[in-house]
Amino acid sequence: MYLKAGGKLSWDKPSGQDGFSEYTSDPAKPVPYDDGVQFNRTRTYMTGDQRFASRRPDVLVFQTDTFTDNLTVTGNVVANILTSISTTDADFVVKVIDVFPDNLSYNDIDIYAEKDPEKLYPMGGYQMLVRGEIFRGRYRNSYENPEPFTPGKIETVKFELPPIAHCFKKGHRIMIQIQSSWFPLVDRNPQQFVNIYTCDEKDFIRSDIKVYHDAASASYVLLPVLK
Amino acid sequence: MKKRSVIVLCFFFVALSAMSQRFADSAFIVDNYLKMEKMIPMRDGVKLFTAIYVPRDQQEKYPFLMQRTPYSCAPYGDKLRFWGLGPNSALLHDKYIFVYQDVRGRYKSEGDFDEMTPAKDIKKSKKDVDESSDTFDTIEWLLKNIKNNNGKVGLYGISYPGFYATACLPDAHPAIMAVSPQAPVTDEFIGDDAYHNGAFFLMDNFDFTNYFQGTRIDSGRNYQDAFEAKYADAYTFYLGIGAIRHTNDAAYFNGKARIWNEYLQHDTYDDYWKARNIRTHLKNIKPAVLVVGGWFDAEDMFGALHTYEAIEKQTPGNKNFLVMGPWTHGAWSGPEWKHFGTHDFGANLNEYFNGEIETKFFNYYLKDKGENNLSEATVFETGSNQWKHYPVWPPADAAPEKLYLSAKGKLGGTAAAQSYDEYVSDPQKPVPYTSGVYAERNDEYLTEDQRFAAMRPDVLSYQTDTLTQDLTVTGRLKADIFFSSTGTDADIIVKVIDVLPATGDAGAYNPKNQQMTNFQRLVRAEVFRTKFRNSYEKPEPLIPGQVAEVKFDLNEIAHTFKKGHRIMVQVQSSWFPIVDRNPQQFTDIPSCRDADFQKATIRLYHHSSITMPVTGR
Repeated sequence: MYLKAGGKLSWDKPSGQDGFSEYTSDPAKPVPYDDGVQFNRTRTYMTGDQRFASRRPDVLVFQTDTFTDNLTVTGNVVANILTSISTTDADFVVKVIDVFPDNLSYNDIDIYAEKDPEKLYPMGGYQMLVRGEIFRGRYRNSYENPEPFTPGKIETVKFELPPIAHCFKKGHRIMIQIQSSWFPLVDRNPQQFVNIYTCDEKDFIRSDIKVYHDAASASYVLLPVLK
Repeated sequence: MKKRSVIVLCFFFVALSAMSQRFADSAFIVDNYLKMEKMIPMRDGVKLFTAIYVPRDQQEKYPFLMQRTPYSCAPYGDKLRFWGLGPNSALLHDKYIFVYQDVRGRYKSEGDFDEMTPAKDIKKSKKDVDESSDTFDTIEWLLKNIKNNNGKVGLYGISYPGFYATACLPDAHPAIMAVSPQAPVTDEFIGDDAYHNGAFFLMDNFDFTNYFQGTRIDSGRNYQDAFEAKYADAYTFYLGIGAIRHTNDAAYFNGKARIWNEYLQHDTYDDYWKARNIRTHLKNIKPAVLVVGGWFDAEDMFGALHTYEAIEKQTPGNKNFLVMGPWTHGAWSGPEWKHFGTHDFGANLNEYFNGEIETKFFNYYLKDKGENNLSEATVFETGSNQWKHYPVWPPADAAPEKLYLSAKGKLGGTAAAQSYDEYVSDPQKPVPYTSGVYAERNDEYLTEDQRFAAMRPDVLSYQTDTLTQDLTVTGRLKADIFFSSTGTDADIIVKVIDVLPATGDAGAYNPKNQQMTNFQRLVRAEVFRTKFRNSYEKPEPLIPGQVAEVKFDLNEIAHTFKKGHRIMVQVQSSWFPIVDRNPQQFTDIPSCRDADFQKATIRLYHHSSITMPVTGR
């Protein structure tokens, strides 16, 4: 499934040139791994509503049209991200999300006729995390021999997400979100090719991240579809 | 939806004790009041529908207490207002002649409705009418036609009806002795309802106008919404509408809502808005005035504070009183108000307001009953949770203290004109005004934990060290912001926040079990559309990269930042969807296109400041 311009996601490969989406990843304002304020790690973050993240400028959002049939995905998920960054290292978090219909109810109720529909029918428009995984960019070619990025150069970051077994139902959409922090679940990347465990606070710098979606550099997520 | 009217009704259903009070009141109304409905002629021949509830007993002569409303004086016909008559239950039991009137062109009244009817100081003929003359003519008719009146009239109202209460004051009928404008809509471009400092309040007005500009049906008894807006997530819905011109697409207003079009068409402080600023007419005011407002009023906090101020300045010596409490829009009119957001006020504040202030005010001026021991200003101080009384408002002895938004996120450090912090403001990813997903406006946003915003890269936060002693600020709060943008227009939102200590707040009201440690409780916030930084009439583009200054008020404040807390200021450039998105270029926002909305990099310079009126430490 290819990332496309305008936040679209579809089975066909992009045809245009020089297409990319970008954001600035700021280690001083990392993307939270879950909504709200908690002391302990929530367990529900793995199925949490990702709207809090969609609304952030440092999270890219791509989504399909509404499905007219059920789509069952079972097996390994592979993310293949074509990216260039302005610094020498970055993290890549890829999230596969099941977007529920805006008017979701289970009894053919017109939820909009109800008072407080968002409380009575909280799954309406819900962006349910199905699977998320992180990859520290410096290991893109080897876990043994990490390599810095060359600023501005397009490189491939390819990694596996844990397998999924999930049915995206008729009327739903698939959404892919890409971001460069998942805090404090994952430590912050200084976004420079330095020793993370000995570096200083001042080594943490912003990085401009571009994710490509054109004919020459097509980012995609491989989904094992069960037919 | 329809916030300006419906919220008030909801308070009647708050608590069980309140329910039993309501049943008792209903029975009292049935036993003690007679209702009549009249079409009262105005000087230009237009007749206004008026419901009059007269005490059955004729043992004493009663004064009138009147509310004029665009929201209907329902129920019509034989039914009584079983949910209550008058401003509060005590006044109902004290007995007044209660009068409700549909204003011109609304519900069952004749004539044409005009948004915030412009006041006419000089009336040349009987065709020259305004709300003052309509009130005057109504009172003339009432005094002559309703028996057993004592010749005195009071007016009151909340929100839009609050405006009608204010609007009777210029050239008031001499029988008007006491008027209580409560959360009155006052100046819709500068600080109330439609715009705040030139920034359009999208969500509130979209909902409201849908009802308000609907079609009159059932012989004027009801209005049908102009269209059906279906959404459960306001942020997604309004972002999906895109540029504001699309609110006039076929699915929505379709170009047919007159007031919506007026709101969009008049996007500067032009003659349309100036004619509707009732403040300039508040001269030579004779009746006693009790202005009431709420510190958590999302609509008309400005209106309450500035109606009081305008009368003080332009009619010195008038009996003019101010009450400000920790209420949402109109929340003082319900039977109970003990907590809001995470605030626990420790007592039912409405008992105090209704019993000690509102009832005494009307009884004194309309019935010569009791004493007038009202303070000039009765103000609830949040943080310390107490009523305070002031002979002058804002307090004259406040010491203005400037806190700089300085380097390294410090509030109150040294000013530096060369250094700055920056963020990218992206109109496609505006900063939400609230955390979470809501269909309607989350009223608690004005006191909500701001950590959801602090975590974003497009929000700057500055905070003081931990306070070593209580710090009380009372009066007008000012922001003085030096900034630059890569675009030619920008919004600046300034939020003042009380940061709780790591130990949280033992006295907090916390039914949602929120994590109170280091909770960033919003105290006051305001938006400014910076193309109006030099003039509300003549907007000017920013020069990209060049430092500009914008100074504005964040209304007023009465708050104690307690020992162990910190003061925080946050700055951001969107507040969505309560405020429409700024395209961040100098353009005609009501007609601009989706593609005109551009990212901009905003730099906030370290000689920016807020000035706090310190009254105690």
